Amino acid sequence: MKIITVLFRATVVLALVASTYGCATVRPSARDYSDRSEQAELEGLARDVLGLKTDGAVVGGKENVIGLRSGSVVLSRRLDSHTFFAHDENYGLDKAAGVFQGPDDQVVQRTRDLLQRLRIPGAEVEASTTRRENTQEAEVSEGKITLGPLGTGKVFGWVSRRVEGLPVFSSRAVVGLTRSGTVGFMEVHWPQIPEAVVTEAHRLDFKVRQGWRPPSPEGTTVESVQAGVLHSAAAGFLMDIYPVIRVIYAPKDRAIGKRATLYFNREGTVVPAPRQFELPCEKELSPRAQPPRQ
Amino acid sequence: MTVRRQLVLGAGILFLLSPVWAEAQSFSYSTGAVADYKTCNVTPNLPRTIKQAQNVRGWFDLGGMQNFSRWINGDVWGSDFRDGIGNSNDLESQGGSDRPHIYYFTGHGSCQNPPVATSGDFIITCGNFGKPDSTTIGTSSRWGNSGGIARFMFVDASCPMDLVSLSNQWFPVFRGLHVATGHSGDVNHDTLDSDVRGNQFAAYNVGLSVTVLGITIPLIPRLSVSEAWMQDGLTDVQSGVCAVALAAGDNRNDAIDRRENEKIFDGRSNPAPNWFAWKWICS
Repeated sequence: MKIITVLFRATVVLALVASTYGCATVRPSARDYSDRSEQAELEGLARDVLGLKTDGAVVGGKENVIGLRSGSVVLSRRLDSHTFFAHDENYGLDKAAGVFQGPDDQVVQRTRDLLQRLRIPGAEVEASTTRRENTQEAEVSEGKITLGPLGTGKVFGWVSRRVEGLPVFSSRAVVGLTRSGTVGFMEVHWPQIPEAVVTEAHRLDFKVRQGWRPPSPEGTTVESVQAGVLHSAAAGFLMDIYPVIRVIYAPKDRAIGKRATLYFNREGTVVPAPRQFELPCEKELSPRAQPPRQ
Repeated sequence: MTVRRQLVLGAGILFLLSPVWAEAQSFSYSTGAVADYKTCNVTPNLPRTIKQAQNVRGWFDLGGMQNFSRWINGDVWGSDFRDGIGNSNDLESQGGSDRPHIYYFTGHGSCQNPPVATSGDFIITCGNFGKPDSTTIGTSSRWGNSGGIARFMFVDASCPMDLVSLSNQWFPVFRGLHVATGHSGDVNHDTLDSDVRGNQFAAYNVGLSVTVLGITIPLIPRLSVSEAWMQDGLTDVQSGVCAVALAAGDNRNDAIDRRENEKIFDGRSNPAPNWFAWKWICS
């Protein structure tokens, strides 16, 4: 009898526990969408990602960006995209926080760590590299130029993006570190790419691999053809996203530079340039008047 | 908060910001964008340059600057970039590049294979007037002289600032100019026609900020000219291309300080080009 009672009680306890988990699954606690909660989330991000102290931090927003200032450091994020900016006013060669002098692999590692904290999927991180500023000075005196030695400036972790193997031409992460390894500058622009866009980009990639031939504007030869995703820039107030085939053209006259670059859709039509913001209509210009005779 | 208190607070904020806004308004800028080169039997056309210049204007306008000119295609003349006096060449009253504080050019340049110390750097237009269309920067361009007020020259073209020929091609042009930016490359390593490159550059030059309780929060940081170019100059370029920023200074420290820290709204005086300091970053 005693054993039956114990078994019965144990069953009741298990059922209660199970029902608790069941409730958690069926009825998730509602997310708090208040301003206070948003500020708390931003403060959490500042602590977790940048290691900032947020006591006394000030939060404010404008247009589609919200930011937090703590001392000389500001962390901000776009409200319409997975896009983050950070900047320390004391970051720089001749400034209090200085610039990072350690090895490149530490910069890459720190950059990857930051991306992880910002919930960037590891599978989308294509190439991580470093880019280092070079510096030089020269004196010009009585027509004589005296060159100074080469120096180095800031070093940046630089990351490009692929989604399911396809390049996202406009996404990137750039991170510059201070002397002590804290973030001096950060731009992480990693907007969510809708599934339909990725699917269409795959179709475009299939077309390219099947031998899709782009039009060749006069005086050019096709230099590269690649399917991927194009979207608006990090600094902007709109977010346009297009699946595209990017074609880079080399000029036949090698002396004339800048490569024409066109982005096509599946019909071979040029897609519009992603907008950065809604530009006001500018007054149409009259043709410029002939210059005065010299 | 009552309406009256809101009005008082708003007026207070406007009062605090008025010097900054007034300073921005005292700055003028021009854009010159050439997409149509076919008219001049030059290929290829560069369809994205016009949008690029439009994006630049969007940010500069947002920053409160005054647009001086915004010519495109045949209305951008080669003579706009050649030194002049009175109402000629770079001082021509409708669009000379020495008329505004800032000039942003986007179009073709020319690269060598490879460039050497004596190679020229070029701005190539397809103008209705002001021929020839090709300007050799080192021998023909001078900014900030003869009544010209250009402080910042931004050239988005092919190889307009080759590192190997920097002293020959760019030191002589600084006659009051503060900072210039461009690219270094060669015929196999060049910039791509892009509407985004200028957008980010202009955005980082102007920034976007909000003031809360008297504290400014730069939501998009306002960087120095060279910092902005180091961040944005490598957008849409082939590997091996370098973004270059060059500053002049009265002395070594001044040149370095301008290279590292000068922002377009600083309102610094014109430097004597006794020293130059430059930086570059490569893809």
